[in-house]
Amino acid sequence: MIRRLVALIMLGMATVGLLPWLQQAVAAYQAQVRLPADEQAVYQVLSTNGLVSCDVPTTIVLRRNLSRTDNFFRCTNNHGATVTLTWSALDAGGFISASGSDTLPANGTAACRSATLDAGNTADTRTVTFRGSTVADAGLYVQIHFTAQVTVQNGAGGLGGGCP
Amino acid sequence: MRPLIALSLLTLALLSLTSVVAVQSLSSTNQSALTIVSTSDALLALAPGLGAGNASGTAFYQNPVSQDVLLLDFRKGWDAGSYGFTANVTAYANLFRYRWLFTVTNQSAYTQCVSVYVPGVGPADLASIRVRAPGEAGSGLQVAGAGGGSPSCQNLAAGQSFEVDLWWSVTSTAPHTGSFMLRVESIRA
Repeated sequence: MIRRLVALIMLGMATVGLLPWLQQAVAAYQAQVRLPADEQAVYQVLSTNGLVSCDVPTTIVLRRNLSRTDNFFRCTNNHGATVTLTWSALDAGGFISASGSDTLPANGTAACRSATLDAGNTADTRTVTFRGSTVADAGLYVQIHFTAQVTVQNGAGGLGGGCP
Repeated sequence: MRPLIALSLLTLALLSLTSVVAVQSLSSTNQSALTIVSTSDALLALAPGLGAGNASGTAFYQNPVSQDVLLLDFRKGWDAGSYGFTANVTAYANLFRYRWLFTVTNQSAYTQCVSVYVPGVGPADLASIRVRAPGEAGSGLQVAGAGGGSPSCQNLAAGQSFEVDLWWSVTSTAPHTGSFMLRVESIRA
C-alpha cells in the first residue's frame, strides 16, 4: 500500500514536472518566430532630379550699386504631395538678401520663382547660398540647399531678369 | 519489476525539478520577444502610413491582397517615378523627414516596448527613426539614431498604434543606390 502511494506521488511529480517543460518549449518557440520581413528597403542619392530639387542660373551677374535686380531659381517637386518651401538667399557679406515662401504642387513640374537681389557697391564674386525648407511640422519635411555664383561688376545697367 | 518502475519514476521526478528551475529562470527575465512582422494582422502589425511622408507610396505591401510584406522604396516620387534624394554636392546637408511613413499596431494583449532599427551597419544618410501617436505634432520619440543604430524601445499599449517617421540627412556627395533592412520588434513591457 505504501509502495503504491509513493509510486503515485512520484508519478504525479513527474507529470507536473513535465508540464513546465512543455510551456518552456512553447515560450521559446514564440520568441523565435520570424515572419518574412527581411526584405530590404531601397534608397537612391542622385546628383540631379531628386525628390525635391532646386537650381539657379549657374552665374548671376549684377551691376554695382544697382539697387535691386530680379533673378530667379527653379524648384521641382517630385513628391506625391504639395510641398511648401520657405526659401532664402544669403551670402557671407550680406549684400544680397532675399527670401520668400512658395507652394510647389505635387505635379512634378518645375516652379520658377523670382528672387530680388540687392547688389553691393563693390565689384566681387561670391557664392550665394539658397536655402529652402518646408514650413510645417507635418508630413514630409524637406530642407535643401543650393548655391549660385554671383558676380557684381562695375558699370551701369543691370543683368538678370525674372522668370522666362 | 517494481523497483525498476520506482526508479524510473524517481528519475522523472528529479528531472522535473530541473524543469521547474528552468521555467523560473525564463519567467524571471520575462522576455517574450516578438520579432518583426509584416502582415496586417500579426501581433505587431505593419501598414503603409497615411501621412504626407508616404504620399509617394514609399511604404507599400509587396502583395496588396495578401498584405504579406511591407516594403520601403525611397526612390518613389510623383507618378510612380523613380527619383531619390539630391546629393549633397554643395557640402550642405539635405534633410528629408518622412512623417507617418508606416504604422505599427500592437495587437497583443499586453503593452509592448517597440523598437524600430536597422540591424548591422545602416545607411549613413539615415539620421534617426522616430515614433509618435499617429498624426501627432512634434518630433516624436527617437527609437534609433544615425544609420538606424543605437536602438531603444517605446511602450505601446495593447490595441494602440505608433506612426514611424524616418529622418534622412543626406550628406553623401556622390550618387549611389543603397539598401538596408528595417526591423520592427518588441518585448513585453
